[in-house]
Amino acid sequence: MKVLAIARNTFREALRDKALYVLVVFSLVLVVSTRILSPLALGEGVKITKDVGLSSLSFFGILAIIVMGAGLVHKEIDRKTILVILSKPVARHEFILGKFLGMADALVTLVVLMLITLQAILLLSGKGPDLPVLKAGFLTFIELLVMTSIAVLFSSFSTTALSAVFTFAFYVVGHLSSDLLLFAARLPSSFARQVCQFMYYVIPDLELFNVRAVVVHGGDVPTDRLLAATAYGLLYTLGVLVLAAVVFSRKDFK
Amino acid sequence: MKSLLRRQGVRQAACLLLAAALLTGGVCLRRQVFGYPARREGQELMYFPSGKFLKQSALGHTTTLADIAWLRAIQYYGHHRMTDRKYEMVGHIFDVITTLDPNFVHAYVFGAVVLSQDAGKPEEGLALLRKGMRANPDNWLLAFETGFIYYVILGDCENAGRYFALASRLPNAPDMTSRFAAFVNEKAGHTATAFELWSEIAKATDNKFIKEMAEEKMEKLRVQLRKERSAAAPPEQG
Repeated sequence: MKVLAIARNTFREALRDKALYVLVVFSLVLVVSTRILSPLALGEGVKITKDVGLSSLSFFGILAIIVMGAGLVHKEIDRKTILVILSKPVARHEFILGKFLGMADALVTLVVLMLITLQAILLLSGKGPDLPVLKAGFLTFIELLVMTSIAVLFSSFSTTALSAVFTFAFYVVGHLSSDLLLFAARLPSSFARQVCQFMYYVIPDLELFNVRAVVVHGGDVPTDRLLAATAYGLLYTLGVLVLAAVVFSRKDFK
Repeated sequence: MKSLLRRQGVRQAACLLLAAALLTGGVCLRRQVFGYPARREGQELMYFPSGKFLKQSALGHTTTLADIAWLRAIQYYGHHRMTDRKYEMVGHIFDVITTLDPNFVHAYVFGAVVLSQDAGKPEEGLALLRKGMRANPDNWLLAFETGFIYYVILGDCENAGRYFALASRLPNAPDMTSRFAAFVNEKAGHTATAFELWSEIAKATDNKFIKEMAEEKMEKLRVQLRKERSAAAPPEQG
Protein backbone atom coordinates (compact mmCIF):
# COMPACT_ATOMS: atom_id res chain seq x y z
CA MET A 1 0.00 0.00 0.00
CA LYS A 2 2.81 2.42 0.95
CA VAL A 3 4.71 1.31 -2.13
CA LEU A 4 1.67 2.07 -4.30
CA ALA A 5 1.29 5.52 -2.71
CA ILE A 6 4.93 6.35 -3.50
CA ALA A 7 4.52 4.92 -7.01
CA ARG A 8 1.38 7.00 -7.61
CA ASN A 9 3.16 10.12 -6.43
CA THR A 10 6.19 9.42 -8.62
CA PHE A 11 3.92 8.84 -11.61
CA ARG A 12 2.12 12.12 -10.92
CA GLU A 13 5.46 13.91 -10.70
CA ALA A 14 6.53 12.39 -14.01
CA LEU A 15 3.30 13.58 -15.63
CA ARG A 16 3.94 17.09 -14.31
CA ASP A 17 7.39 17.03 -15.92
CA LYS A 18 7.22 18.83 -19.28
CA ALA A 19 10.14 16.75 -20.55
CA LEU A 20 7.89 13.70 -20.82
CA TYR A 21 5.40 15.57 -23.02
CA VAL A 22 8.19 16.88 -25.24
CA LEU A 23 9.50 13.33 -25.68
CA VAL A 24 6.04 11.92 -26.39
CA VAL A 25 5.25 14.65 -28.95
CA PHE A 26 8.66 14.27 -30.64
CA SER A 27 8.34 10.50 -30.94
CA LEU A 28 4.76 10.67 -32.22
CA VAL A 29 5.70 13.31 -34.81
CA LEU A 30 8.60 11.13 -35.91
CA VAL A 31 6.37 8.06 -36.37
CA VAL A 32 3.65 10.01 -38.18
CA SER A 33 6.25 11.64 -40.47
CA THR A 34 7.18 8.21 -41.86
CA ARG A 35 3.81 8.27 -43.66
CA ILE A 36 5.00 11.35 -45.51
CA LEU A 37 8.31 9.68 -46.36
CA SER A 38 6.60 6.54 -47.69
CA PRO A 39 6.32 7.65 -51.34
CA LEU A 40 10.08 8.28 -51.40
CA ALA A 41 10.90 4.84 -50.03
CA LEU A 42 10.18 2.82 -53.21
CA GLY A 43 7.89 0.23 -51.63
CA GLU A 44 9.71 0.14 -48.28
CA GLY A 45 7.41 2.62 -46.52
CA VAL A 46 5.92 0.07 -44.11
CA LYS A 47 9.38 -1.21 -43.15
CA ILE A 48 10.51 2.35 -42.47
CA THR A 49 7.38 3.04 -40.38
CA LYS A 50 8.02 -0.06 -38.24
CA ASP A 51 11.74 0.72 -37.93
CA VAL A 52 11.29 4.35 -36.93
CA GLY A 53 8.36 3.51 -34.62
CA LEU A 54 10.22 0.79 -32.72
CA SER A 55 13.51 2.68 -32.67
CA SER A 56 11.93 5.84 -31.32
CA LEU A 57 10.17 3.76 -28.67
CA SER A 58 13.56 2.58 -27.42
CA PHE A 59 15.40 5.87 -27.99
CA PHE A 60 12.81 8.20 -26.42
CA GLY A 61 12.21 5.68 -23.64
CA ILE A 62 15.88 5.74 -22.67
CA LEU A 63 15.87 9.55 -22.94
CA ALA A 64 12.89 9.66 -20.55
CA ILE A 65 14.79 7.43 -18.11
CA ILE A 66 17.91 9.60 -18.34
CA VAL A 67 15.98 12.87 -18.01
CA MET A 68 13.55 11.81 -15.29
CA GLY A 69 14.73 8.50 -13.83
CA ALA A 70 18.32 9.50 -13.13
CA GLY A 71 17.18 12.02 -10.52
CA LEU A 72 14.42 9.86 -9.11
CA VAL A 73 15.94 9.24 -5.66
CA HIS A 74 18.61 11.91 -5.54
CA LYS A 75 16.08 14.70 -6.12
CA GLU A 76 14.31 13.68 -2.91
CA ILE A 77 17.62 13.69 -1.04
CA ASP A 78 18.55 17.06 -2.51
CA ARG A 79 15.23 18.65 -1.55
CA LYS A 80 15.39 16.94 1.88
CA THR A 81 11.87 15.56 1.28
CA ILE A 82 13.39 12.13 1.87
CA LEU A 83 13.63 12.99 5.59
CA VAL A 84 9.90 13.67 5.74
CA ILE A 85 9.09 10.43 3.89
CA LEU A 86 11.43 8.24 5.91
CA SER A 87 10.24 9.73 9.19
CA LYS A 88 6.91 8.03 8.39
CA PRO A 89 6.62 4.24 8.72
CA VAL A 90 8.07 3.66 5.26
CA ALA A 91 10.90 1.18 4.84
CA ARG A 92 13.73 2.21 2.58
CA HIS A 93 13.24 -0.72 0.21
CA GLU A 94 9.56 0.28 -0.09
CA PHE A 95 10.66 3.76 -1.12
CA ILE A 96 13.01 2.37 -3.81
CA LEU A 97 10.34 -0.03 -5.11
CA GLY A 98 7.70 2.73 -5.16
CA LYS A 99 10.01 5.06 -7.09
CA PHE A 100 10.75 2.30 -9.61
CA LEU A 101 7.08 1.40 -10.08
CA GLY A 102 6.11 5.06 -10.55
CA MET A 103 8.71 5.50 -13.28
CA ALA A 104 7.63 2.20 -14.84
CA ASP A 105 4.03 3.54 -14.93
CA ALA A 106 5.20 6.63 -16.83
CA LEU A 107 7.06 4.38 -19.27
CA VAL A 108 3.96 2.22 -19.77
CA THR A 109 2.06 5.38 -20.77
CA LEU A 110 4.80 6.33 -23.25
CA VAL A 111 5.06 2.83 -24.73
CA VAL A 112 1.29 2.30 -25.02
CA LEU A 113 0.77 5.68 -26.68
CA MET A 114 3.52 5.03 -29.19
CA LEU A 115 2.40 1.48 -29.96
CA ILE A 116 -1.19 2.64 -30.52
CA THR A 117 0.04 5.35 -32.91
CA LEU A 118 2.29 2.88 -34.72
CA GLN A 119 -0.51 0.33 -35.11
CA ALA A 120 -2.88 3.06 -36.33
CA ILE A 121 -0.37 4.09 -39.01
CA LEU A 122 0.15 0.48 -40.03
CA LEU A 123 -3.63 0.04 -40.23
CA LEU A 124 -3.85 3.12 -42.46
CA SER A 125 -1.16 1.59 -44.69
CA GLY A 126 -3.21 -1.62 -44.88
CA LYS A 127 -0.55 -3.63 -42.99
CA GLY A 128 -1.99 -3.68 -39.49
CA PRO A 129 -2.62 -4.68 -36.81
CA ASP A 130 0.81 -6.23 -36.58
CA LEU A 131 1.27 -8.64 -33.65
CA PRO A 132 5.06 -9.10 -34.03
CA VAL A 133 5.44 -5.30 -33.75
CA LEU A 134 3.55 -5.46 -30.44
CA LYS A 135 5.89 -8.24 -29.26
CA ALA A 136 8.92 -6.13 -30.24
CA GLY A 137 7.38 -3.18 -28.40
CA PHE A 138 6.87 -5.35 -25.32
CA LEU A 139 10.50 -6.47 -25.33
CA THR A 140 11.60 -2.84 -25.71
CA PHE A 141 9.50 -2.07 -22.62
CA ILE A 142 11.32 -4.84 -20.70
CA GLU A 143 14.62 -3.29 -21.83
CA LEU A 144 13.39 0.07 -20.49
CA LEU A 145 12.50 -1.58 -17.16
CA VAL A 146 16.05 -2.93 -16.87
CA MET A 147 17.43 0.54 -17.61
CA THR A 148 15.04 2.14 -15.08
CA SER A 149 16.27 -0.20 -12.36
CA ILE A 150 19.86 0.75 -13.22
CA ALA A 151 18.93 4.46 -13.10
CA VAL A 152 17.31 3.94 -9.69
CA LEU A 153 20.44 2.12 -8.45
CA PHE A 154 22.75 4.96 -9.52
CA SER A 155 20.33 7.58 -8.30
CA SER A 156 20.33 6.00 -4.83
CA PHE A 157 24.00 6.87 -4.21
CA SER A 158 25.00 9.41 -6.83
CA THR A 159 24.04 12.86 -8.09
CA THR A 160 21.48 13.34 -10.87
CA ALA A 161 24.09 14.30 -13.49
CA LEU A 162 26.38 11.38 -12.67
CA SER A 163 23.45 8.93 -12.60
CA ALA A 164 22.41 10.13 -16.05
CA VAL A 165 25.96 9.61 -17.37
CA PHE A 166 26.28 6.17 -15.74
CA THR A 167 22.86 5.08 -16.99
CA PHE A 168 23.67 6.15 -20.54
CA ALA A 169 27.06 4.41 -20.33
CA PHE A 170 25.29 1.20 -19.26
CA TYR A 171 22.89 1.58 -22.20
CA VAL A 172 25.81 1.89 -24.63
CA VAL A 173 27.82 -0.97 -23.13
CA GLY A 174 24.66 -3.09 -22.77
CA HIS A 175 24.21 -2.98 -26.53
CA LEU A 176 27.85 -3.87 -27.15
CA SER A 177 28.24 -6.48 -24.40
CA SER A 178 28.65 -9.38 -26.84
CA ASP A 179 31.77 -7.63 -28.16
CA LEU A 180 33.34 -8.05 -24.71
CA LEU A 181 33.59 -11.80 -25.33
CA LEU A 182 35.28 -11.14 -28.67
CA PHE A 183 37.77 -8.81 -26.98
CA ALA A 184 38.33 -11.37 -24.24
CA ALA A 185 39.25 -14.04 -26.77
CA ARG A 186 41.94 -11.78 -28.25
CA LEU A 187 43.49 -10.58 -25.00
CA PRO A 188 46.89 -12.07 -24.11
CA SER A 189 46.49 -11.79 -20.31
CA SER A 190 44.27 -14.40 -18.69
CA PHE A 191 43.35 -11.96 -15.89
CA ALA A 192 42.13 -9.38 -18.45
CA ARG A 193 40.21 -12.16 -20.21
CA GLN A 194 38.49 -13.12 -16.96
CA VAL A 195 37.65 -9.47 -16.20
CA CYS A 196 36.08 -9.13 -19.67
CA GLN A 197 34.08 -12.34 -19.18
CA PHE A 198 32.95 -11.18 -15.74
CA MET A 199 31.86 -7.83 -17.19
CA TYR A 200 29.99 -9.66 -19.97
CA TYR A 201 27.83 -11.44 -17.41
CA VAL A 202 27.39 -8.44 -15.08
CA ILE A 203 26.40 -5.92 -17.75
CA PRO A 204 22.86 -6.47 -19.06
CA ASP A 205 22.74 -7.87 -22.59
CA LEU A 206 20.30 -5.35 -24.07
CA GLU A 207 20.56 -6.91 -27.53
CA LEU A 208 18.43 -9.79 -26.20
CA PHE A 209 15.48 -7.39 -26.20
CA ASN A 210 16.19 -6.19 -29.74
CA VAL A 211 14.04 -8.11 -32.23
CA ARG A 212 13.46 -5.14 -34.55
CA ALA A 213 15.59 -6.60 -37.36
CA VAL A 214 13.26 -9.65 -37.50
CA VAL A 215 9.97 -7.85 -37.06
CA VAL A 216 10.48 -5.10 -39.65
CA HIS A 217 10.92 -7.74 -42.36
CA GLY A 218 7.61 -9.36 -41.48
CA GLY A 219 9.11 -12.09 -39.28
CA ASP A 220 7.66 -13.22 -35.98
CA VAL A 221 9.28 -13.43 -32.54
CA PRO A 222 9.33 -17.05 -31.33
CA THR A 223 7.44 -17.46 -28.04
CA ASP A 224 10.40 -19.13 -26.29
CA ARG A 225 12.64 -16.17 -27.23
CA LEU A 226 9.98 -13.75 -25.95
CA LEU A 227 9.58 -15.62 -22.67
CA ALA A 228 13.30 -16.15 -22.12
CA ALA A 229 14.13 -12.48 -22.77
CA THR A 230 11.26 -11.36 -20.52
CA ALA A 231 12.39 -13.68 -17.71
CA TYR A 232 15.99 -12.49 -18.08
CA GLY A 233 14.89 -8.85 -18.03
CA LEU A 234 12.66 -9.26 -14.97
CA LEU A 235 15.30 -11.23 -13.03
CA TYR A 236 17.94 -8.63 -13.85
CA THR A 237 15.57 -5.79 -12.86
CA LEU A 238 14.71 -7.45 -9.53
CA GLY A 239 18.39 -8.14 -8.83
CA VAL A 240 19.36 -4.51 -9.46
CA LEU A 241 16.43 -3.25 -7.36
CA VAL A 242 17.52 -5.44 -4.41
CA LEU A 243 21.03 -4.01 -4.82
CA ALA A 244 19.61 -0.47 -4.92
CA ALA A 245 17.59 -1.16 -1.76
CA VAL A 246 20.73 -2.45 0.04
CA VAL A 247 22.79 0.58 -1.06
CA PHE A 248 19.98 2.96 -0.10
CA SER A 249 19.44 1.31 3.29
CA ARG A 250 23.08 1.97 4.17
CA LYS A 251 22.88 5.63 3.18
CA ASP A 252 23.34 8.18 5.91
CA PHE A 253 21.29 11.38 5.46
CA LYS A 254 23.01 13.47 8.16
CA MET B 1 2.31 53.22 -18.54
CA LYS B 2 0.70 52.93 -21.97
CA SER B 3 3.64 54.64 -23.68
CA LEU B 4 6.05 52.34 -21.82
CA LEU B 5 4.18 49.27 -23.09
CA ARG B 6 4.07 50.75 -26.61
CA ARG B 7 7.82 51.40 -26.49
CA GLN B 8 8.42 47.82 -25.33
CA GLY B 9 6.24 46.49 -28.16
CA VAL B 10 8.11 48.54 -30.74
CA ARG B 11 11.44 47.31 -29.35
CA GLN B 12 10.27 43.68 -29.51
CA ALA B 13 8.99 44.10 -33.07
CA ALA B 14 12.31 45.66 -34.06
CA CYS B 15 14.17 42.73 -32.47
CA LEU B 16 11.96 40.24 -34.36
CA LEU B 17 12.64 42.08 -37.63
CA LEU B 18 16.37 42.06 -36.91
CA ALA B 19 16.25 38.31 -36.15
CA ALA B 20 14.33 37.65 -39.39
CA ALA B 21 16.83 39.75 -41.38
CA LEU B 22 19.81 37.94 -39.85
CA LEU B 23 18.29 34.49 -40.49
CA THR B 24 17.38 35.41 -44.08
CA GLY B 25 20.93 36.68 -44.58
CA GLY B 26 22.28 33.39 -43.26
CA VAL B 27 20.01 31.35 -45.58
CA CYS B 28 20.98 33.49 -48.62
CA LEU B 29 24.68 33.16 -47.78
CA ARG B 30 24.35 29.39 -47.44
CA ARG B 31 22.59 29.12 -50.80
CA GLN B 32 25.15 31.36 -52.49
CA VAL B 33 28.24 29.72 -51.06
CA PHE B 34 27.26 26.08 -50.72
CA GLY B 35 24.46 25.69 -53.24
CA TYR B 36 21.58 23.23 -52.91
CA PRO B 37 22.23 19.91 -51.19
CA ALA B 38 21.53 18.06 -54.45
CA ARG B 39 24.61 19.66 -56.02
CA ARG B 40 26.76 18.28 -53.23
CA GLU B 41 25.21 14.83 -53.15
CA GLY B 42 28.10 12.87 -54.68
CA GLN B 43 30.62 14.53 -52.41
CA GLU B 44 28.48 13.90 -49.32
CA LEU B 45 28.28 10.20 -49.98
CA MET B 46 32.08 10.03 -50.24
CA TYR B 47 32.16 10.58 -46.49
CA PHE B 48 29.44 8.04 -45.78
CA PRO B 49 31.03 5.90 -43.05
CA SER B 50 31.53 2.17 -43.53
CA GLY B 51 28.66 -0.16 -42.66
CA LYS B 52 30.78 -1.99 -40.07
CA PHE B 53 31.52 1.25 -38.20
CA LEU B 54 27.88 2.33 -38.34
CA LYS B 55 26.73 -1.08 -37.13
CA GLN B 56 28.94 -0.83 -34.05
CA SER B 57 27.84 2.70 -33.22
CA ALA B 58 24.11 2.19 -33.92
CA LEU B 59 23.37 0.74 -30.45
CA GLY B 60 20.78 -1.69 -31.78
CA HIS B 61 19.17 0.77 -34.20
CA THR B 62 20.91 -0.69 -37.25
CA THR B 63 17.80 -1.26 -39.36
CA THR B 64 16.69 2.34 -38.82
CA LEU B 65 20.09 3.58 -39.97
CA ALA B 66 19.76 1.25 -42.98
CA ASP B 67 16.44 2.95 -43.79
CA ILE B 68 18.07 6.39 -43.66
CA ALA B 69 20.85 5.14 -45.94
CA TRP B 70 18.20 3.59 -48.25
CA LEU B 71 16.39 6.94 -48.57
CA ARG B 72 19.74 8.64 -49.31
CA ALA B 73 20.57 5.96 -51.90
CA ILE B 74 17.26 6.53 -53.70
CA GLN B 75 17.82 10.29 -53.73
CA TYR B 76 21.37 9.76 -55.03
CA TYR B 77 20.22 7.37 -57.75
CA GLY B 78 17.26 9.52 -58.78
CA HIS B 79 19.42 12.65 -58.96
CA HIS B 80 22.11 11.02 -61.14
CA ARG B 81 19.54 9.26 -63.30
CA MET B 82 18.05 12.62 -64.16
CA THR B 83 21.44 14.34 -64.66
CA ASP B 84 24.80 12.77 -65.54
CA ARG B 85 23.95 9.04 -65.21
CA LYS B 86 27.16 8.46 -63.23
CA TYR B 87 26.76 6.21 -60.22
CA GLU B 88 30.20 6.10 -58.63
CA MET B 89 29.05 5.76 -55.01
CA VAL B 90 26.20 3.27 -55.55
CA GLY B 91 28.32 0.23 -54.65
CA HIS B 92 29.48 1.79 -51.39
CA ILE B 93 26.08 2.97 -50.23
CA PHE B 94 24.36 -0.36 -50.96
CA ASP B 95 27.18 -2.15 -49.16
CA VAL B 96 26.53 0.09 -46.14
CA ILE B 97 22.75 -0.53 -46.27
CA THR B 98 23.12 -4.30 -46.49
CA THR B 99 25.79 -4.43 -43.77
CA LEU B 100 23.45 -2.54 -41.45
CA ASP B 101 20.45 -4.65 -42.37
CA PRO B 102 21.54 -8.01 -43.85
CA ASN B 103 17.89 -9.05 -44.40
CA PHE B 104 17.01 -6.03 -46.56
CA VAL B 105 16.38 -8.12 -49.70
CA HIS B 106 15.11 -5.22 -51.84
CA ALA B 107 18.31 -3.29 -51.21
CA TYR B 108 20.40 -6.18 -52.60
CA VAL B 109 18.13 -6.51 -55.63
CA PHE B 110 17.87 -2.81 -56.41
CA GLY B 111 21.58 -2.21 -55.74
CA ALA B 112 22.59 -5.13 -57.98
CA VAL B 113 20.35 -4.03 -60.85
CA VAL B 114 21.63 -0.44 -60.66
CA LEU B 115 25.27 -1.56 -60.42
CA SER B 116 24.95 -4.01 -63.31
CA GLN B 117 22.63 -2.11 -65.60
CA ASP B 118 23.24 1.58 -64.95
CA ALA B 119 26.74 1.73 -63.49
CA GLY B 120 28.10 -0.92 -65.88
CA LYS B 121 29.64 -2.93 -63.03
CA PRO B 122 27.91 -6.33 -63.22
CA GLU B 123 30.66 -8.03 -61.15
CA GLU B 124 29.97 -5.64 -58.26
CA GLY B 125 26.24 -6.27 -58.67
CA LEU B 126 26.83 -10.02 -58.51
CA ALA B 127 29.06 -9.58 -55.44
CA LEU B 128 26.25 -7.69 -53.71
CA LEU B 129 23.77 -10.47 -54.53
CA ARG B 130 26.20 -13.13 -53.29
CA LYS B 131 26.48 -11.20 -50.03
CA GLY B 132 22.67 -11.24 -49.88
CA MET B 133 22.54 -15.00 -50.52
CA ARG B 134 25.02 -15.64 -47.72
CA ALA B 135 22.81 -13.69 -45.30
CA ASN B 136 19.49 -15.02 -46.69
CA PRO B 137 20.19 -18.50 -48.06
CA ASP B 138 16.47 -19.33 -48.38
CA ASN B 139 15.49 -16.29 -50.42
CA TRP B 140 14.64 -17.28 -54.01
CA LEU B 141 14.58 -13.70 -55.32
CA LEU B 142 18.30 -13.18 -54.74
CA ALA B 143 19.22 -16.37 -56.61
CA PHE B 144 16.79 -15.44 -59.38
CA GLU B 145 18.27 -11.93 -59.74
CA THR B 146 21.76 -13.44 -59.91
CA GLY B 147 20.62 -15.68 -62.74
CA PHE B 148 18.99 -12.69 -64.38
CA ILE B 149 22.21 -10.63 -64.36
CA TYR B 150 24.24 -13.58 -65.66
CA TYR B 151 21.79 -14.15 -68.49
CA VAL B 152 20.67 -10.70 -69.58
CA ILE B 153 23.74 -8.60 -68.84
CA LEU B 154 26.68 -11.00 -69.08
CA GLY B 155 25.11 -13.46 -71.54
CA ASP B 156 26.41 -16.35 -69.43
CA CYS B 157 23.76 -19.04 -69.94
CA GLU B 158 25.56 -21.70 -67.91
CA ASN B 159 25.71 -19.68 -64.68
CA ALA B 160 22.28 -18.17 -65.33
CA GLY B 161 20.78 -21.67 -65.62
CA ARG B 162 22.47 -22.71 -62.37
CA TYR B 163 21.07 -19.78 -60.44
CA PHE B 164 17.56 -20.02 -61.96
CA ALA B 165 17.55 -23.71 -61.00
CA LEU B 166 18.72 -22.83 -57.49
CA ALA B 167 15.96 -20.19 -57.21
CA SER B 168 13.33 -22.71 -58.27
CA ARG B 169 14.34 -25.08 -55.44
CA LEU B 170 14.10 -22.45 -52.70
CA PRO B 171 10.99 -21.98 -50.49
CA ASN B 172 8.08 -19.94 -51.93
CA ALA B 173 9.71 -19.68 -55.36
CA PRO B 174 7.10 -18.97 -58.07
CA ASP B 175 6.71 -21.28 -61.08
CA MET B 176 8.42 -18.85 -63.42
CA THR B 177 11.81 -19.61 -61.82
CA SER B 178 11.76 -23.21 -63.01
CA ARG B 179 10.47 -22.02 -66.41
CA PHE B 180 13.44 -19.73 -66.76
CA ALA B 181 15.79 -22.44 -65.61
CA ALA B 182 14.46 -24.66 -68.36
CA PHE B 183 14.55 -21.90 -71.00
CA VAL B 184 18.09 -20.88 -70.27
CA ASN B 185 19.37 -24.39 -69.98
CA GLU B 186 18.03 -25.14 -73.41
CA LYS B 187 19.61 -21.89 -74.61
CA ALA B 188 16.55 -21.31 -76.74
CA GLY B 189 15.35 -17.92 -78.03
CA HIS B 190 17.55 -15.56 -76.10
CA THR B 191 15.72 -12.36 -77.05
CA ALA B 192 12.32 -13.81 -76.22
CA THR B 193 13.59 -15.13 -72.89
CA ALA B 194 15.20 -11.82 -72.05
CA PHE B 195 11.94 -10.08 -72.91
CA GLU B 196 10.01 -12.45 -70.67
CA LEU B 197 12.54 -11.98 -67.83
CA TRP B 198 12.24 -8.22 -67.96
CA SER B 199 8.43 -8.36 -68.18
CA GLU B 200 8.27 -10.65 -65.12
CA ILE B 201 10.49 -8.20 -63.26
CA ALA B 202 8.34 -5.24 -64.34
CA LYS B 203 5.24 -7.09 -63.09
CA ALA B 204 6.76 -8.25 -59.80
CA THR B 205 8.46 -5.09 -58.58
CA ASP B 206 7.05 -2.25 -56.47
CA ASN B 207 10.15 -0.24 -57.23
CA LYS B 208 9.33 2.61 -59.64
CA PHE B 209 12.88 2.83 -60.99
CA ILE B 210 13.21 -0.91 -61.66
CA LYS B 211 9.80 -0.87 -63.38
CA GLU B 212 10.86 2.03 -65.61
CA MET B 213 14.17 0.35 -66.37
CA ALA B 214 12.43 -2.94 -67.22
CA GLU B 215 9.91 -1.19 -69.48
CA GLU B 216 12.71 0.62 -71.32
CA LYS B 217 14.46 -2.70 -71.87
CA MET B 218 11.24 -4.41 -72.97
CA GLU B 219 10.65 -1.72 -75.57
CA LYS B 220 14.14 -2.26 -77.05
CA LEU B 221 13.74 -6.04 -76.98
CA ARG B 222 10.28 -5.78 -78.62
CA VAL B 223 11.85 -3.97 -81.60
CA GLN B 224 14.63 -6.53 -81.77
CA LEU B 225 12.17 -9.40 -81.58
CA ARG B 226 10.14 -7.91 -84.43
CA LYS B 227 13.31 -7.67 -86.55
CA GLU B 228 14.33 -11.25 -85.73
CA ARG B 229 10.86 -12.55 -86.62
CA SER B 230 10.69 -10.67 -89.92
CA ALA B 231 14.19 -11.91 -90.79
CA ALA B 232 13.21 -15.48 -89.96
CA ALA B 233 9.90 -15.34 -91.90
CA PRO B 234 9.95 -16.98 -95.38
CA PRO B 235 10.07 -14.44 -98.25
CA GLU B 236 6.70 -13.69 -99.87
CA GLN B 237 6.20 -15.32 -103.25
CA GLY B 238 5.23 -12.90 -106.01
